[in-house]
Amino acid sequence: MNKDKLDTVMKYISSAFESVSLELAESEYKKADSLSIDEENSVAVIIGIAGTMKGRIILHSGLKTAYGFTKIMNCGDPLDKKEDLFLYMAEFANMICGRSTTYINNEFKERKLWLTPPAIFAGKNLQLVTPTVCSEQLFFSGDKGKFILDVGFEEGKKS
Amino acid sequence: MTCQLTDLKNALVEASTEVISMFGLSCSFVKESEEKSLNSGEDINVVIGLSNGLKGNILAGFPKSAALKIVSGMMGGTELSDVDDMVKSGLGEFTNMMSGNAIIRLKSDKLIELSPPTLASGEDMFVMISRAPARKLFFKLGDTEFNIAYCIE
Repeated sequence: MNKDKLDTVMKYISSAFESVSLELAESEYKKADSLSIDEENSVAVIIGIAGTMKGRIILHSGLKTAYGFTKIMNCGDPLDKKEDLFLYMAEFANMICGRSTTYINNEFKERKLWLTPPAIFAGKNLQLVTPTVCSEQLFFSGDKGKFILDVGFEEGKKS
Repeated sequence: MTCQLTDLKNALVEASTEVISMFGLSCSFVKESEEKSLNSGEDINVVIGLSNGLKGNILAGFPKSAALKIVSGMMGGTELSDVDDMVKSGLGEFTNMMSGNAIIRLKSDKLIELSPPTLASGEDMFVMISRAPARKLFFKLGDTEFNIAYCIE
């Protein structure tokens, strides 16, 4: 993918994150130059991208941040069970990726991007690697905590 | 859906056995079980998403011993002791080959797209690949084992 196209894609993904987080949690997130997840326990949602561009998007946050954010998504009520945290985070990531895909498809006048269902991982010192992609990270900081979007595409694929 | 699940199960069992044999190893299918939607993870977990013709996820779980054994086989028997970047890359490739092989066996009319493999590792891991219960295939690989969970939406 050429740099201009990648910049456009990243711009739309960033814009999708900002609008979805504002709608879901009434929380205004600002892009940061860099940040790290400083919680030991974290949650990551992986959504694959297939079609003309092959890659994946990972939404990564600390567990406490995820719990706080999903509690707001649940109208302020505590979550009933552990599964709910995973389901809400998956939905959050799905909305960001779905909206990004719509923006990107509209921009490039094609409907050839497919998303895979979310896979969610949580654990201590979580490490995520996709050996076949080159990735860029988008950092977001807001009053509900920090999120990282890791966006990676395979090189050498038609796009 | 039942037909697709049975087909995918058989395809994954056949593909795993065939791909493992390419590396001079042999594995045997032990059993299939239905899992809860939220499961504990293995030492190394590799997820590949399916889209377009079939929507779902395939998750291969490897204890460290199985990961080293498979990648050692891929590297012609090189002795390995740590799960480093090369081992992770090898496991990603193995899961990609196995998933691709299984998807070809499904002989689907519609193109089934695969996302790149992503490896997840950590301590006290929990994994959810679908809100619905996933099915898990257990394989014996010499003195160790690995498993493949799958779900279709």
